[in-house]
Amino acid sequence: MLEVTHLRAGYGAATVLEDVSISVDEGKFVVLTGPNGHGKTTLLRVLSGLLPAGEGEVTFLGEPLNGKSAAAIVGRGLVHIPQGDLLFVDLTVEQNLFMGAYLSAAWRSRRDRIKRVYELFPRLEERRGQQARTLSGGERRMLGIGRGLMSNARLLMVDEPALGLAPVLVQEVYATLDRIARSEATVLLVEETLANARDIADYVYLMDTGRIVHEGTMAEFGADVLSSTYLGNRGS
Amino acid sequence: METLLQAIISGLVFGAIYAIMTMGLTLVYGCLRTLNMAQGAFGMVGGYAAWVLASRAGAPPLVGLVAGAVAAAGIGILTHFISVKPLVGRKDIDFEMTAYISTLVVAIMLSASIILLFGARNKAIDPLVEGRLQIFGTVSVSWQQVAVAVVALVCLGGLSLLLNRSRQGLSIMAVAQQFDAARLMGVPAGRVYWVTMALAGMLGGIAGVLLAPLYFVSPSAGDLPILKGLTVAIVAGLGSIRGTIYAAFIIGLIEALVATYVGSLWALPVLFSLIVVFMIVRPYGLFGKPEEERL
Amino acid sequence: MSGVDEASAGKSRLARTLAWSRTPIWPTVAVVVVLAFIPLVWRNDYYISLFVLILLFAIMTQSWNITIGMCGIWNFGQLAIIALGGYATGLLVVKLGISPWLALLAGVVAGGVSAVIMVLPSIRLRGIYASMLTFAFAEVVRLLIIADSTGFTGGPFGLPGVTGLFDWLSPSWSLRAYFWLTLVLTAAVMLFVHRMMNSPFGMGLVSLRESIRFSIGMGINRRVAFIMATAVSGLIAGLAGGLYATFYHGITPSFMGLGPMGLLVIMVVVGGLGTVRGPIIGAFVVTMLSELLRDTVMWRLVVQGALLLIVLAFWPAGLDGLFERGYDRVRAWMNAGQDEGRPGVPAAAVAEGSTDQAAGRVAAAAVTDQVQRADRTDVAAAEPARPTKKVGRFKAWLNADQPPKPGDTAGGPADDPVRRGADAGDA
Repeated sequence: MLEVTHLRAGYGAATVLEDVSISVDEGKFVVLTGPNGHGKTTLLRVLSGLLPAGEGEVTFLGEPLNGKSAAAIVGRGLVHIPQGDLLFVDLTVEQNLFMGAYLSAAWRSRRDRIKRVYELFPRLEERRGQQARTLSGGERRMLGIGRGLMSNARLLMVDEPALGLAPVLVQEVYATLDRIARSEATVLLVEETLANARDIADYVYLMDTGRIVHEGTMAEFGADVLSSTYLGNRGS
Repeated sequence: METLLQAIISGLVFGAIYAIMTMGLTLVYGCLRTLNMAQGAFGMVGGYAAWVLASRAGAPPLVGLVAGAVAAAGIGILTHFISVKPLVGRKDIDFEMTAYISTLVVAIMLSASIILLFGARNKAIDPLVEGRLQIFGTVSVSWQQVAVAVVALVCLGGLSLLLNRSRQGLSIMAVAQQFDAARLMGVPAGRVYWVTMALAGMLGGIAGVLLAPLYFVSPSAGDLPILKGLTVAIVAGLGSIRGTIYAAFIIGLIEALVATYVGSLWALPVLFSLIVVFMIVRPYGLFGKPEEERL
Repeated sequence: MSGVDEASAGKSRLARTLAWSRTPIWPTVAVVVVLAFIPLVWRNDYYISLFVLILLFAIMTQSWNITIGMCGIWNFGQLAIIALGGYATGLLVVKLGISPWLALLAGVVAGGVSAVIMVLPSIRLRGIYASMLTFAFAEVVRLLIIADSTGFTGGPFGLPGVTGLFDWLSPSWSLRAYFWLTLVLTAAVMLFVHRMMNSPFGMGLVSLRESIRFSIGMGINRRVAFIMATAVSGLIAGLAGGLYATFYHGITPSFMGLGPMGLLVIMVVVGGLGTVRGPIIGAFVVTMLSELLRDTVMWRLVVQGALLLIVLAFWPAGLDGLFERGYDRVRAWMNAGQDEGRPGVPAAAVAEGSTDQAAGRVAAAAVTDQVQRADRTDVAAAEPARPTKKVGRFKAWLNADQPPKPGDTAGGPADDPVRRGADAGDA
């Protein structure tokens, strides 16, 4: 579904992604993990068109995405749910959701879509007329995810959905993501704490200093791999 | 008492015009994070468009109003493409300041072009409607004032609908509030920018046509409105839509009261002195969020 | 900075504070001497008065450039300060009948004082708000003078009858005397500003412009620095105002307002915001352009405006930056012939050959770049090595007229030839 081969990118002359190759198959729950500050968010920003790719290729559903605008990429169904929600804080919950369906194809069916989001997050329906800035942390996260679902999402790239949430809410968010992955769209999850996604992940990529250093199914990820990355003894 | 009432009425009417005028500044500031110093000139262009139609084609005032709005919207788009777009997203300049300067220069160029086209003389223009409405005693409103109030309400209502309900309007607010997220939703930021400038031009043009019968249509007709608009925007807190409406009426009232009781020549100095004091006390406006750095 | 202090221990306190850089005086003096012959050779009084106007504009724009260009204080009330200097001079001459020379001094002081009063409340405000505050101040001054019906300032018609500085000479010689005086003053102001900007004090001002948080973290006192810079700017503005009032034998409130401000803005930006030569180049180019289009006053505003838009879009560093780039290219081209086979050298020569200003700009760009990166909440900013690097680079920048070290310039806009030169040269 999504193929990234030898991607290299960064900010100005500072290269953050040295050489990244990943692939996401339809229907699989893929997790991208790794220590903080090693390029996970940057990868998502490149994939969603916020940052230009340096070298390498990105194809989505068989079509190359290099050089495409953010709007074109969302239009194809590759949706990025950013870290820290980035809500439109002065808009109401409902307006935020409608903005998720901005592209004209989705806009026409926005009323049906919003119903589906409200089914997934009944809490948002209760708060539909409130300004987004008045929401609690958990509600904000729901709104952020719901806004992503409002588009024609085929693949949802979710960045650190557990960030800053209470442990109870973290579980809830992951349960919801699991449901989304089964019924709505394929999910590519960026998560620093792999343990959070232990039960739902099908395939895991481990990223370190701008490279994929390990990949495999959850079962293949032994404790030794993780500790060697996080504790800094990278072998050779 | 009757003088006071009269002053309040005229203050409210001016407040309504300032609200439309400043809303253009507010929208552009929200979206582009810069002050569009050509906003007053948009109004001036609107006034000229209405005058040209009325004097050369004998069009009815309402047509002039629409024409003013359309012409100013066009100038707004032009301004965007010649003075704002080349600066957007550049790393080697301070966008806020350079765009401020370049739009100021566009305002000067617009005045000069108008003089080239129509000469420097003031042009009189008919009000939308003639006559006065007696309320009681010596208190009266002109029908023009009523018309201004109606047009202003329609504009502000329409703007509110546009911004809160329509796809384009929501995308303007979205870009203003969270640029990256708006792009992730597929909003083409470049288009939102010029649409916003067109909207600002339209609002400026309408305000210009409404102001024209009260003063004159002249090449410098935009100078005073932009000064008042900036005052309103500062009192409101830059980028605050709700604040803009309140602040416009507050400024309109203060101005009318000072003009009535102290003298019209003193209205502006008093207003600006108040602004200086206001900015020292509450630098981020009535409804703005603190942006200053206390270090 | 202790080294600097030791070096200048014998100087006066002010000089120590500023720790003057050693800008060579002789090239400027030579240029002044050559230009001083113009009115002797060229006997057209009209053009000489035009040159005086250009020089007056150059002093005005230079004074404004200190605050708006070098410190990044969004001061849009500079015309009011210039006008206050002019009015102070004019009023003292007209009302008290004192010597215009003494009155000129008073005008200088008035400019400095009013500048500080105006900028004080705006120091803690962010960009656009500061611009509004200063602009409102200027409008209050302008409108109060217009509203004045007591006859003290002459109201909207202005203050007539100010005695000129050289009225004891014949009109034509008086004009020449004005030319020489303003020429010398322009050069003096330019030298002063250049030295100031290359002193630690000036470097501190530039760093405040680039990042307030960062500079304060490095121990620069923003208030003191801004007040001093504003006072300097105001003194120069007062001087320009006083000269203007005596040269034209009067001053009117139409000297202020949006239009004249636009003209001055065009000069500053076209010349090069924040550069020392920029205001002079801007004043010359814009005034000459006005002169060429003398017959069609309105076209001239359109053309000047278009010039500004073009400069902003293509050469945001102004004509000064453009000339400098051209000069660097010529240098690089000339050196390239000598140093064939040593690819790194020509670029290094470019970096060293460019003036202190260019080095300052490199450093400023480096700081800007750091700040932009630090602002990002992304991974790029979170690399562990960053903070120590930042401090090291800043120190280098504070001390240095030289371009920063190799690794430090990574991540900058690659299209800046000065920086590219520095990168390649050190690599």
